Amino acid sequence: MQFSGAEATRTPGIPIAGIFFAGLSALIVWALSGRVATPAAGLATAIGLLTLFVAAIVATFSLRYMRADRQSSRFFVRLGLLVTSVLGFLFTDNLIALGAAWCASGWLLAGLIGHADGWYEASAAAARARRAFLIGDAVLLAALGILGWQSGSMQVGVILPGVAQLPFFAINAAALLLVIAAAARCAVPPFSGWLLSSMTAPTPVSALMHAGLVNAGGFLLIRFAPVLEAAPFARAVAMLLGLFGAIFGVGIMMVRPDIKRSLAGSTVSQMGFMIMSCGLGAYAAALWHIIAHGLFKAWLFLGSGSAIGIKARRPAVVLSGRASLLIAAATLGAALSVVSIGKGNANLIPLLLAFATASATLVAWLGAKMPMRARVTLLLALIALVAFHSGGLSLAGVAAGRDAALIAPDWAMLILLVVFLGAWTLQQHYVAAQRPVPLPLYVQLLNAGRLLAAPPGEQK
Amino acid sequence: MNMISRIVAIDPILTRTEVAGIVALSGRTVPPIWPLESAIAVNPLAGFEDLPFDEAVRLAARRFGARESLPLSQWRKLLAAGKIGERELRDAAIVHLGGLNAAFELVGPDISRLDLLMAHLLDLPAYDRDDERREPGPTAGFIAKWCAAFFDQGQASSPMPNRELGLYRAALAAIAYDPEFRALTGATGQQLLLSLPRDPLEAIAEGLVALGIDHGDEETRLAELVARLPGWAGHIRWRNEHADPEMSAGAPAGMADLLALWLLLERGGAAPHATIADEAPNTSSSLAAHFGLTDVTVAGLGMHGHARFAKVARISEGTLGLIFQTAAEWTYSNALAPKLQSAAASLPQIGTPDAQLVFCIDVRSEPFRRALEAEGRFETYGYAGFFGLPIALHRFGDERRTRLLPVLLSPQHDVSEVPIPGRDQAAAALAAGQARSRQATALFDAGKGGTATAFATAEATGPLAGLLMAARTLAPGLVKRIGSAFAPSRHKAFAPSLGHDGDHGRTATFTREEKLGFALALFKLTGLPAQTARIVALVGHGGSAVNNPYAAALDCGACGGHAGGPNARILAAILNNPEVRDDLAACDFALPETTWFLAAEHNTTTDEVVIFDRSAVPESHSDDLEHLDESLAKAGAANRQRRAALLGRTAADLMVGAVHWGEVRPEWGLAGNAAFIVGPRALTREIDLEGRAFLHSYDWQTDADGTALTTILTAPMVVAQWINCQYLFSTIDNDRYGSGDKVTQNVVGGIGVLQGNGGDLRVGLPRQSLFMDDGTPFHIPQRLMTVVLSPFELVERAVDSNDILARLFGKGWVTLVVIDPRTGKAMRWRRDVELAVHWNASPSNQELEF
Repeated sequence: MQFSGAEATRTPGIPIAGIFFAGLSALIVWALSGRVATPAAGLATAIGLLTLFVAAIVATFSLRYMRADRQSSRFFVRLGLLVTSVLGFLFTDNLIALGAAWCASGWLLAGLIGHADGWYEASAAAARARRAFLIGDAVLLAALGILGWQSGSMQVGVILPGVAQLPFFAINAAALLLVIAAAARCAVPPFSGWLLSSMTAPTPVSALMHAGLVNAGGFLLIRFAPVLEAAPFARAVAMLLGLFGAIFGVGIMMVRPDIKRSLAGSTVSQMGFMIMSCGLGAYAAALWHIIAHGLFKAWLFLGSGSAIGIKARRPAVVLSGRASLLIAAATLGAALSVVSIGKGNANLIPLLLAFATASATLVAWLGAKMPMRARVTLLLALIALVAFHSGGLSLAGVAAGRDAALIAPDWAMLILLVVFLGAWTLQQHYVAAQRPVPLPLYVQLLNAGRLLAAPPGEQK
Repeated sequence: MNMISRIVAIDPILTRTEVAGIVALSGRTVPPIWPLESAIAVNPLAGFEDLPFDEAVRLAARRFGARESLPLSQWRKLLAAGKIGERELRDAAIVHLGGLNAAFELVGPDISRLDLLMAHLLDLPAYDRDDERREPGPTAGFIAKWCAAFFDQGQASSPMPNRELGLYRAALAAIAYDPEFRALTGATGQQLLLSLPRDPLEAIAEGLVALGIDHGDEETRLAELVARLPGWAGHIRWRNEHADPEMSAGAPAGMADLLALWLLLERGGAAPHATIADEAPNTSSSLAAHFGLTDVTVAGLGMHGHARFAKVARISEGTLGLIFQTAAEWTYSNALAPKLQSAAASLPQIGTPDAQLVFCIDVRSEPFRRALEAEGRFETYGYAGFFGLPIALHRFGDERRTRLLPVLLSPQHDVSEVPIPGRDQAAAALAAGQARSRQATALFDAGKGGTATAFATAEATGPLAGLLMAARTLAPGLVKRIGSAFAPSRHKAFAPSLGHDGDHGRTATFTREEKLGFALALFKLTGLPAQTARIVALVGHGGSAVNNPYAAALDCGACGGHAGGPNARILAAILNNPEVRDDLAACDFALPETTWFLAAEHNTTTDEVVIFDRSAVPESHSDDLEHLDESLAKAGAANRQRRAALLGRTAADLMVGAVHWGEVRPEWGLAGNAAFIVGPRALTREIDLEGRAFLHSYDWQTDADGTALTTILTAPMVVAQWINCQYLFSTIDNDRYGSGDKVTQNVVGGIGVLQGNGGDLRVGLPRQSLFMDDGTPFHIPQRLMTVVLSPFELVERAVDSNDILARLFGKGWVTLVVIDPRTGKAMRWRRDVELAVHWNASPSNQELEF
């Protein structure tokens, strides 16, 4: 790549992208050197790699994309600080540093959402994000305070092993506060507004948001897993909040006519699922979700300029109502048989949903009209994707360490699964029949997170 | 309940038919807006074109809440950069003041009116707020939200309910559940929802009475409402007036639907959109201070002096901007016109060329043509890039047809794309590839949108997404090369078919007469002589941009915002047809048997030229072809170098930018466009037009009755004027007439873009296409100057017999300069009068005659 000299001197973009790449390489070397001994280090390294990778791509992308920006220096500097703060809370063992870096990252992110000058909507969206983060930050600081005060230590590594001995109230309060802090950062309802109205951010910021920022809540819950494991009530809250977010977000995505807010709806859903997995105790699945979804969504955001083109109304891939019902039934059957032999575990839901996804895709693949050649290559691609998925999942297992024991009884797990599969079957039925969502629900979903901002001087 | 009966009791004054008429008229305040997949340049002020330019700008600025001109600070920067001549600015100021005498009248001791005006133009502080974005306001935001939901073409997997009822009724049903509506209109709104007529025209008739809008004011009031969301209103016009009917099938919407919604909100008491009226700053004292005058001295200037002083001090920034704009236009024309005039005096002749190449009139063709002419004995021509073929192409594997013609026309022929004989294998491979990517996308979409499948889909595709993201960011060229290694180029597998036509029930294939007509038009309109060279290449053009909503804006406007290759291929095939050659000979156009017509496409982003159907070129012409190939490559390299300097990048980086998904400015497009020159290439061949001129070839000697000239002025020139006005207005107010900053755009419904979270569908061009990185305009806002080399009478006849030309030239939307080839005299079309003013006169004197 070549850039003219004038540009190179004017923007700090090139050095900052360079630093990201250098940091990424250093972290890779460190990870490969075998010095990642603890699950905590594994977790930090995995998310750190994701953050630096996406940041390096986003910064390089922005060298072109943001070249005409009037505040491109401020943009790149904030980007650099933002990544630094994320790395800070990932790798520190000190409670105060963790809290400070966490707060800084939210503040910087809100600043980037309001990057565009002279635009009231942007400042309103930034203010909204700042308010959501303020709640999350305050709650997090309270949780960290409780933990530090009760354990008499500022070192996470010291606090966590002895967490089970802390007083009942302290541990439950801390756990619940952690869940709320995670939900605020992960834009899980009731905190999804800030993300759903953050489209005033330049596209690269939206892309970076999904690596280490929106999903930082997941990091928090996995990092403080022992706290949650000692507080089943907080885990149940995480599960239910997550479940609701997962389904609500899909609804938002389904009705949005614009690409960026539709992607934001999808993020709400994905984050809900991830928080739910954390609540279930499926840490490896949650970590892998954080990483894979971070890549997936950053890619979709950076490519959001390609959404021009009037499409056929009827989707090319349609599962008949019966096919989706059969797949749902088979998945449920599999769940029942696993549970009946007493092998129920935290990973059951993520794994069974992956099973349902693979089956649905295969059925759709069988039903789609295409030449044999295309059919074979697509199948190979699907196999490769499944391999990626299982490979990633086992790597994440290595990094995150063991999963937590289940808190929910098996029947509760089955109910969770039924909710997902039921919602899905209903959704497929609606899509296949070309039926719109019921009107009151449609309006709710379309309005979710709508920023009603009027500049000063205008009424209402 | 009493409230309801009160509302019901309204008796409309106007009938449905009358309302329909008024609605149609008020809708004309906005132009139709094409979707970005086939972006077409339109004049955002098209609805004001029957007014004089200055007046139109002022009125439109009020109606759209826009600026009248570029901010003063920007004009001053352009002046400082030498883009505007100081002498021309002074001349424009003198003309504004009413001539030399008036300009030099003294206001006070040693201070003339001109001094005051020049100080106002150059030195007083500017009050403009340059980068401020105007918010749509809550009511407009609310309506825009429902427009986006209704007009969405395939982004949402679950469409808005009740679309089949039309925009107005579908929205009525939905907003009953919308708390935002309740917040805007309160209890009145809820009652209105129950009582309102379900027919939009009746609702408007009722609303006009309820709001107490006086009879006679209806059109203006409705037009003001239309103008609050010019994007969606323009989309409605496109949908109903220019789109194929299947586009609106199952979801009808007219301007009446939009207006009925607006009136509902108004009746519900929703806060009207507060257009922030810029307070006219008190320049009087700063102007006085500039000349060292105190308020006392100003008061002591005497009655006349004081009035004169106040008059200059009161001139608005918009008017000052128009003075700057006039100066910019004169700077350009004063430099160009004398050169053209002296070139006209002695048109150089060149010998038989090695090849003749016919390019599109697009301003980007001109520098490439110059570069090519420098490589050998090449003769180039300018012709509308659709090559006169009013066609729509059914691409293999596409459901919808592509209109490859100017939007002024409607398709007369449906052409199918078919596999080239002997290339069936490649065609099958391409078709399979297409099917594969379509199905893969569909599977992916279904997976990521499913409540149970979204999560595993993200997890499984994430790693692949990471790889692709890195590859597209760090090595986009490599990605492109790998892609093309696996799939043959489309044009090598498929060709537009002349033989038969798709079974679409439209006009069948070209008849022999039609083919002859298309062939003859090329010669008659461009003055291409019958003694053609061994090779005649028809060169269409297209741009290349990746992940860029405005990619189609870089393609050929004459081909409806698409690359022009297919048109070139069809006309070349027609001209190589022996039957057509025979028929041409019968019309006194006997072409040499040795002439072969080539079709090609100029990539304006990379300056590469693809030659189509090479295998059909006869053996005898292979040397000619090779020579042409080499020259095209050299010309491309030279032009790329030139363009790279304008973009502030290296030539190699232009190639990367063309395939990079983060590139926001792959090329300058038509930025800088300023002139439309009608005449033989000899007229401009020795002049560097800097890529700012549309060039239409024309030979008055073969156009005795002026038919060709009339066609050129009423079709290609009008397209050029649309483009010119789009660039002009998008530059002067990028927030209202343009689409704003690309980095915060958000693609909506597959149709166009929003800014941020919502608001109106954006019109015009993004900031990056018009402004340099430092924020100064690259495109200088100036009106088109049309130059015609032709006898006066011919031009006069053409203008007089066409209302549209009389309007464009007469009302100052386009300047017309005619150079008479017989006398060498240049004349300029005066507003609403006749050709009268001598060009040669010094600008000051000349302009005084306006």
